[in-house]
Amino acid sequence: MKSITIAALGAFGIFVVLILLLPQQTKRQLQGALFQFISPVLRTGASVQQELGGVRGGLKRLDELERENQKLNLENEQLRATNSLLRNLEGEVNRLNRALGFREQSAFKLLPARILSRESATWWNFCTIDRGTKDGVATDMAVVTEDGVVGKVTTVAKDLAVVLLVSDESLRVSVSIEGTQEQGIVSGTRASSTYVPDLKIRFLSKTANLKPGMQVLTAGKGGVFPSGLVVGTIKDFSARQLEGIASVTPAVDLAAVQDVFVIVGER
Amino acid sequence: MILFFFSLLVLIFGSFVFQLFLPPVLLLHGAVILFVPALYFYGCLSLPFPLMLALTFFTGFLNDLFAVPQARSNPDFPTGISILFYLVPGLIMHGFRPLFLRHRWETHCLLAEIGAVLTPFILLAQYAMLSFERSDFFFSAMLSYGGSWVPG
Repeated sequence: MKSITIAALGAFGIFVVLILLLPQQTKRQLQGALFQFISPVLRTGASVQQELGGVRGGLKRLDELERENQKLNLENEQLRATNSLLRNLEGEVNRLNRALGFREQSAFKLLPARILSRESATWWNFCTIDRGTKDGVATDMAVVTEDGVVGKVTTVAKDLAVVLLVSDESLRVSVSIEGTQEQGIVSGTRASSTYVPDLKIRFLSKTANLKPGMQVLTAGKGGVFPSGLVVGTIKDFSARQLEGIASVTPAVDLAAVQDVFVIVGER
Repeated sequence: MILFFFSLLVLIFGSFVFQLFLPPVLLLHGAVILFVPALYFYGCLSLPFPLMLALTFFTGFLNDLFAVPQARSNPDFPTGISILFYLVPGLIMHGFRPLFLRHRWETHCLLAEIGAVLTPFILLAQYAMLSFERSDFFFSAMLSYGGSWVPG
């Protein structure tokens, strides 16, 4: 074996061990610095993506595009461009009205934020928002919408933050079930039979009388989420040997969420 | 060669950033388009061994910084472990380097396919690590759809 190969292997091994042994705080700072470094790109990309209507529809095959094109041409003859524009504006106004109403009526001090990016590989795990330490955001702050809980802040840079979504398995929230004395811990699921992942409540009593549609609210015991925030609704309940387990449909449409609020304190 | 190496580093970094704007492809069962492994394997085939190791270090470390949330107490897996996940398939691809350097189009096609086959192993290794770290190994039918699609 050549000496340069041995030297390269040695250096590689040393660097890998050094990286693995770095303190968690340093790694968080590194991640924060990286996202801060690319934040201009993220901001520009997010605005361009918004203007183009996003690429959420994904890539399509040529025959699908042709069919869609024919359909759109037909529709285009029937609809006037101004109507379409007005409908879009109406939707935007309604969405912002709901958000504004929620912010004004909320008992908490809410900081509005916009989701900058979500990586496809971790789509249901985390996202980045356009608020950071300069706006008063800190780690472990709750992130919500007018519909309910979105997640919590894990990493903060100067003007953006990483939010761990409620659909991630590692985020655990103490919850209570509306209209019952039942309490449990809700967390995301690693994968689901449906495209949008359900949440799962564990540590319920086996005899819990839970019906589909019951609301799941935060219990306020973990120190991150205040009590009374909607997490979702019960989908089904099953009693195991030691505990009851319920699956929950998230209150927030995590696939489409764009605007969120960070709870930075109480009023 | 050094210029090519640094170009690859820039391209890989750019791909990580670009992937932040790519949502899952709903038509392909929510599959993910990955550009980074394709570039990485290309580097493994074309670079000499020391530079290939440096590329592995850069790609693996960046992958963890981009994809692993650094929660306060309980990270999913140690930052940097993906370097090792990239190393194994990278070494396999590097073994094909003499074949690649013959510059025949049919071997290039074959090697691109080998790269596409090796990519899920990186994802599976990360998934297995995450599974063992969190609880037990868990496999869902959703995973068997092959939630990754690699250009190449």
